[in-house]
Amino acid sequence: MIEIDNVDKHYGNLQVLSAVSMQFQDGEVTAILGPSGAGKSTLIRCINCLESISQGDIRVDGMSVLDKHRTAEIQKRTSMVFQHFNLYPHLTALGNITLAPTKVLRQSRAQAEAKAIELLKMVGLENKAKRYPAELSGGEQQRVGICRALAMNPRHLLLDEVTSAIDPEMTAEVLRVIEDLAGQGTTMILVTHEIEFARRVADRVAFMERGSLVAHQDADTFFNRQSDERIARFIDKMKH
Amino acid sequence: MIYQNLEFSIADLYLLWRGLQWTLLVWSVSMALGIGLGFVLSLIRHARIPVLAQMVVVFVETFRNSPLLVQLFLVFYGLPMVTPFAPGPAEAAIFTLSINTAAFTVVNLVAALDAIPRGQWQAASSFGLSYRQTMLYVVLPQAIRTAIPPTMNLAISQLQTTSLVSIIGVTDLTRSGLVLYTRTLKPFIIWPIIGLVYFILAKVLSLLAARVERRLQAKNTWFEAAA
Amino acid sequence: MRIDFSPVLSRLDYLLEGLAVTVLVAVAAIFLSFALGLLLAICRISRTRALRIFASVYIDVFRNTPFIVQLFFLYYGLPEIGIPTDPMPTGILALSLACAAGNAEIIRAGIETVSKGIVDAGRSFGMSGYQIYRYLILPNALRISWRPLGNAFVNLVLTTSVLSTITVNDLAGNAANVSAETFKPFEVYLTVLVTYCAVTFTVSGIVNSIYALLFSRVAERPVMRGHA
Repeated sequence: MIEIDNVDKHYGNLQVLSAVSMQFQDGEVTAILGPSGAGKSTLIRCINCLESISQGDIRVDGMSVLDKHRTAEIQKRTSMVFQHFNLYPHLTALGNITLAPTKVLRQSRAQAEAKAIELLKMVGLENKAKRYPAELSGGEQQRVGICRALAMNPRHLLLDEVTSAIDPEMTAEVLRVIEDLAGQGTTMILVTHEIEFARRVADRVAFMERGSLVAHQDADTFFNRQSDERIARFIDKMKH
Repeated sequence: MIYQNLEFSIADLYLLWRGLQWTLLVWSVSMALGIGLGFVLSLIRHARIPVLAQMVVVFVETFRNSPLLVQLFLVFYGLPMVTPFAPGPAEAAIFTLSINTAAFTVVNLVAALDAIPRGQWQAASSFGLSYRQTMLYVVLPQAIRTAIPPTMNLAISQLQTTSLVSIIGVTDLTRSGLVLYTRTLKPFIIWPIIGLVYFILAKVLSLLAARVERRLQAKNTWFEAAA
Repeated sequence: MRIDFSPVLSRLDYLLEGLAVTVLVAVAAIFLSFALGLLLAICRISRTRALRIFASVYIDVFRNTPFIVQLFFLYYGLPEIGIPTDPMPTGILALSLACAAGNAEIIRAGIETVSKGIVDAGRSFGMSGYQIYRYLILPNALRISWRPLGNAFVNLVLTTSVLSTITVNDLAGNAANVSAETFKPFEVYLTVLVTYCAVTFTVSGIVNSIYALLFSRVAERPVMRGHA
């Protein structure tokens, strides 16, 4: 379980998150929606200890992000898929996936590679294992990015606008992979602009605006019985 | 017993001062000549004048890829044997450094000239501007602005390189260091002092270059704003 | 006076010995200056203030004083404090110390150009600072720095000639001897000049081949589209 407890974050005078409180249950898929600059990405980066919070607390499976000794453990349990893939350009797809498992989890090379191949098969890229990121399309790179995150056997998968840097014709292949994962009961928090996709996969939806959490509801309530007019307008606008 | 004066004196300061003057003289004259020659050669290279352009390429590659010291020896010891031209140390030094600097200038300026988009040439010719006019009013002003920062860096690094002219007997800063060293045998005092003078010169030049660059930057923003 | 290369040809073996020394000195100094430059670059951006200051002062001093002054300082100065100096080891040392400063700046620029995203990725999976440096930052910084480093290596090869001033018997040094013996300075130095060109072209060629071998598939290129 991930608990966000009254979190503030600011860069100098710029308030990015203000008084955000919510919980993510295990086995749930939560979509975080909202206009650009709402602090959605910052929130999941804070969960992943990539950024520090200014006030409040975040606990991942009971471990506080404020406890520096637990940073490595929290990062092992939460794996991130990035908007711009952030693949390591000097390593093949296989190398990208096996680096952290061998260095951080101390898995044997053979074990890590077997798992990597299995994951690549799952996303339909087993024949691209020896390719470098520069030799892959955007959609392929992002699928490798997902494999890289899954190879850590994370308890929580964090996805940061994973399709927004990909050509439209290739987003489907990435979304299909995520949808499969959702079907298998992986805990996921996904920041996204793909509202139709959120509707398909999310169990719950959080709506953020200007650093604040405006709504946190189950998906059916959010999409079908939305009482907040502003959110309803946003949903409507994003559909087109 | 040969009497050797192991102590420093006021006269030594004068020696250093003369050395500094020679260093600056050799440096400034060869930078001016070298950059000027480099400019002309760049135009020949850029215009792809047959035979001449190829000769420029060979010239540039030869002088960029061989040691200045050997170039100095070739000019100072070699030229008098095969030509009527018998330069003294200072002339040989200035001649060689100019040619060496020209070679590097060509690299900078040709890169800057080649970076001007073909579209500008086409646009200029569509308005009826001649090659000469396009070069003079459209291409060169931009290319020179791009080439100024690397050329300034080149000039600053060539200041260090001038120290090699001491080997063919120019009484520059380094030579005065050698003279003082052979007399006093105090390398731990002399070479740091000589080094410090070069260091200060380099810093002063870098500051000047940074100022010029800031000015250019300001002008560039103005150009962009106007565009 | 007529141009006559036959005296040069008669001393070709001696000149080739000099060439061998030049190559040896250059190779040794390339490796040493690279290792030292890498170390300095890491110090230059380290979190420890003292290391940072040491590295920037070192780089500043060595880049802004002439190599020949550094060389004379070491060659004539070290015996003063009881360290005897042999021309060749001292020459290699001076060359490595001097070129390390330039290499450090090149590598530092490379490290700073490595995309922040891959560091984020490494951190997000719990990699330690050392692991991120060793497995992510340095390999990419090396690729980015490789071509400028190649230019620095070419420069180093040319600078080896200055070692002849402390009696190293390298190509330039032996050329001076042959020139004095044969009274054919023009022919000797022209030959040597061309030989240096050949050496630097070879170095450039090796640098480019290594790049092609190691990095050609890694370097960013337009994304290939439309094939699965």
